[in-house]
Amino acid sequence: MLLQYIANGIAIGMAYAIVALGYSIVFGILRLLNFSHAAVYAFSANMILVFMGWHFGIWGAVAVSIVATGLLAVCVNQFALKPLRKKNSDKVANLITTVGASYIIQNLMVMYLGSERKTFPFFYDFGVSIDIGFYTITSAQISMFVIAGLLLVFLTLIIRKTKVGLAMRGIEQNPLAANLMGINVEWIIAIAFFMGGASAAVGGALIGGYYQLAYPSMGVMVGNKAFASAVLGGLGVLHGAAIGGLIVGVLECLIIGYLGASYRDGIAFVLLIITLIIKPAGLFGKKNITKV
Amino acid sequence: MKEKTMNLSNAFKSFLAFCDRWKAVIIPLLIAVAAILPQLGFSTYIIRLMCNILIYTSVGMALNLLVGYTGLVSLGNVAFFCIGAYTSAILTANCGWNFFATLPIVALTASLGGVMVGLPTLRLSGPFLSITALGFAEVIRLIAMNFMSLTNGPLGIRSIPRPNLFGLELNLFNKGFYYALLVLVLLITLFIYLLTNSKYGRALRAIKNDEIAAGLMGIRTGSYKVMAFVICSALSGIVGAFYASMIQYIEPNSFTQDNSILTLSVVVVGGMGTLRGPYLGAIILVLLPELLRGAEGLRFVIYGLALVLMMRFRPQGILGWKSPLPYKLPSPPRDAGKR
Amino acid sequence: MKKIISIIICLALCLTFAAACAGEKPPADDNKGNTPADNNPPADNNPPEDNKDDTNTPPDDGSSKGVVKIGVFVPLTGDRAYQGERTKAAAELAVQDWKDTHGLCGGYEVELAIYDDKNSPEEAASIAEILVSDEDVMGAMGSQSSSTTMSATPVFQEYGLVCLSNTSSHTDYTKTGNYIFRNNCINAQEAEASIEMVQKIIGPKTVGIFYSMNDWGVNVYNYMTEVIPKTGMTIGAAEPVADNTDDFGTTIANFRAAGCEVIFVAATPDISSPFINQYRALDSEVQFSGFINSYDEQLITLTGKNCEGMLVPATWFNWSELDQRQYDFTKEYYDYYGEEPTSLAVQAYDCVGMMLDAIDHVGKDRAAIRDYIESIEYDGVQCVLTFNETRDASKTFAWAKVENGKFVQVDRSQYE
Repeated sequence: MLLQYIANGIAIGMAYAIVALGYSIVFGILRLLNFSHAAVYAFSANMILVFMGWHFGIWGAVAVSIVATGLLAVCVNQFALKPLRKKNSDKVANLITTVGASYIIQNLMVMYLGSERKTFPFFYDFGVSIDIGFYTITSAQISMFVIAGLLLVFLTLIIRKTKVGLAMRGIEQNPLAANLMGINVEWIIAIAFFMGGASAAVGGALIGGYYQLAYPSMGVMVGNKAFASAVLGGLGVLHGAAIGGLIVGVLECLIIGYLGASYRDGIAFVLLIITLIIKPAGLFGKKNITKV
Repeated sequence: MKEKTMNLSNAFKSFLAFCDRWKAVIIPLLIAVAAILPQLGFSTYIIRLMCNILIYTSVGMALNLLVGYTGLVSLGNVAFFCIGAYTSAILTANCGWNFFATLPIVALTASLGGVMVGLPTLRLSGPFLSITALGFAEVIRLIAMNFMSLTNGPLGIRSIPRPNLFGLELNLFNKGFYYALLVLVLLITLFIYLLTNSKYGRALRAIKNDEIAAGLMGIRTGSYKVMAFVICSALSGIVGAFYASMIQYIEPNSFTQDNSILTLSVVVVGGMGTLRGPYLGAIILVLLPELLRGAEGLRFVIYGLALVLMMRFRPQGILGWKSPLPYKLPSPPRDAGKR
Repeated sequence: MKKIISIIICLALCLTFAAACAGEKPPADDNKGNTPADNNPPADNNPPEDNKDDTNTPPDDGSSKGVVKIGVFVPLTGDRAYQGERTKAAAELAVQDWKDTHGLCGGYEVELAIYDDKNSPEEAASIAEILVSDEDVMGAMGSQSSSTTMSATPVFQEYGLVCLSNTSSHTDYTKTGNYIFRNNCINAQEAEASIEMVQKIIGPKTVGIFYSMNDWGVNVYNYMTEVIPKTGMTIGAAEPVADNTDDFGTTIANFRAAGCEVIFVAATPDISSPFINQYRALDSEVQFSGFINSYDEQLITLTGKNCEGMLVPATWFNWSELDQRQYDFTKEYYDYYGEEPTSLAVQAYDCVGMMLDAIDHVGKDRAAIRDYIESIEYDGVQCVLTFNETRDASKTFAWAKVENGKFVQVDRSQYE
């Protein structure tokens, strides 16, 4: 049984990991808890259905939705968060703003698309499943794992190897100094938001397809756990977010398997609290040295 | 256009200054208005709204101590609210206690929760603390959901009695409940006022502005922060008890993350670190969804938009206060004993 | 100067407090009659309305004497909005039909007062206050979940306004007081019907229970754990599920490990459909059995072929060939809302119909309406409705099965 639980855990953990990446990218650069991310993720999956309704075909719809969702995240930044940064306001004000943005996005979706669940095409099912005795691993689980891994590698490469990534790391260290070095800080922040939104859209497509469902409030539960995963792995560290997601997913499945499903939604947070008490910056987080 | 907004903000500033100068008159006047309001023959719907406002004001006031004065952004205040509501509900509805007799127990259990969240704050800071509190709230909700024998799980606790003061039931009919809440909110305000103007409050503000410097000045930052959590949680718990007896039926889903966020918004929208802030914040955020009933589906879109806009134009909160100086000399507490 | 003014104001304040307390006494007497245990309808809370009734008793023919409203509180925002929309549509349809057939209701123009409660208990209680303080409102219906409704019922009971729920299934729901009625089946009846159906049609040895973590699911689960062992079946596994959960891999693994042949699915289609899909992907032999709320077009839309063969107890059949009236209602609802009615929608339609019938007979008097409804024998679309001593409408259950993407009635006699 253990093997089956772990296999299920990895699949669901991958879903958390992808969404967690978006939290982590934005946090890494702005030190901001972005509460609108879950709504942005839900937006992407619902938009894929809308675009499919306009005869874009599934792959076309996914591509367009990735761009649209990235742009939505950039909009949240430009219209809501940028003015606050200019005023150099308190971090809490930013947080409340992102909450406001998530209300807007989610309720507009309910208004125009309806709150009911819609079937989402299972577009990456290759119909193959590997049976090992009683245990079953479907091809969808494997594809999800592979795509999520590729996404992680891709984003890590951008941050580690490109000039944009260098600028991001610079801003993370010291926005003022980065600005003085000729980096267009606002532009880089917008790119980070785009990356966060686009990765959420990849997640929306994968997870929507895996569960064959899309609905406006789909971000609530996944978003919460992805949030916990991102913090668990260390906010701002991409591979940390991914590993955090996997740990949360596997542990959740073990809990369901051995203790029952009643506490499944709590385990992510219990784990998180314990980890933070032992390692205050998360598993892979860099310890911030406070300068006096 | 720019000039106009400048004029407007100047007028607002001078209005605030005026209020500040005449506060000895204005504050009693406002209390008088609050006391007379329910006697004007409003329907119980309006009374209930006013009660809601008072509830969120008082819980916002408690959270303000943490967020506004100490700088610890807790995203899980609903945990204490929930503990308080459940403790009081179980004792009154199942064990037949008097509502007021449960309050000390409520404060005790809620502050136990406060210690549990407060202790990790010794090591955590900023967003990590926020998330820990959020997670704690979620765990508390799940415990309420699954601890069937005590909380009745998702079935909830039904027919929670209203507070009973010497045989007089305080309810929404006779406005007694409203007055009880009004007294509660004023007591909490007075308490926070006295607290923040004491040595303790100055220590909290020092921690908010620069924790390391505060530590170097000899303030034991850790115990002060835990104390702030304990006070906030005990007060929130008491308010939660009032909430349970107002709604008369509670179940775990009455205490979701949305509630924490609403409370935090009350503090931030009104103005962090001010006594007047939570009042205005609660009035705006409780009334807004009710006033927007006509907008139907757009209701919460507009609500979200209002949050975004309020933050955009007054990031320090509507009645918030931003020092024009890099630091402000503490003014000696004048007539601290009034009211 | 300031001090003097503030002292004067404080004095004035004390005076007002004193005055306020003096003014409080008469309503305090009222409360004694309003404890939930008491059965006397506190009709004296609405003296103005009584007066109006007295002055207006002679009916003028043809012209309306004013308006009468039915309050509807349902979620129209948030993630349960679509369910609220269904109830709203049914209520609108009921009022429209009344207007077409009867015109006025007891001499009054009929209106609906529809409020959005966001499925939040706090909002529902506020809305209840709005409804009871509106003198034209003569009955209320709502909401989507028992917990939301039950935070509103104390208010209805306190003020004496009939609350007739089309959805609440919480066992304690009607215990709030004598103004609280229900036109939905109770958990126990529903569970019993489902168990009987499964036992007679399939006759499995080991069954699993998949239930949602809300008052309805938990009540059904509690009842089933009591009853199933007595029938000779054993419960292999029981797994709860919270709202907004989409992953059931491990839950399914547990069911399979326990060797469950039939799974009782006690959850609304939006929660159960991913479960059914994921289960079917791994296991093509398992059978599912639902409850009343599974009789929903959405189940088939969301699960497609995967729910083929699923057994559902039903109190209502869409496009019924036996009953012309039911067929007509299905068509009417479908034309109006673009969706087949669920039993909750039908019940909402009947609830509004019943309240209008009561108003038509006894006029604008909340206490009399309560008495009328208590002893009503209403020929509803769903069935003939009467209320028992706990103010529940009893239902009879038929058996339905999903066949070729449609709910089909199972001939019961075959299995007796």
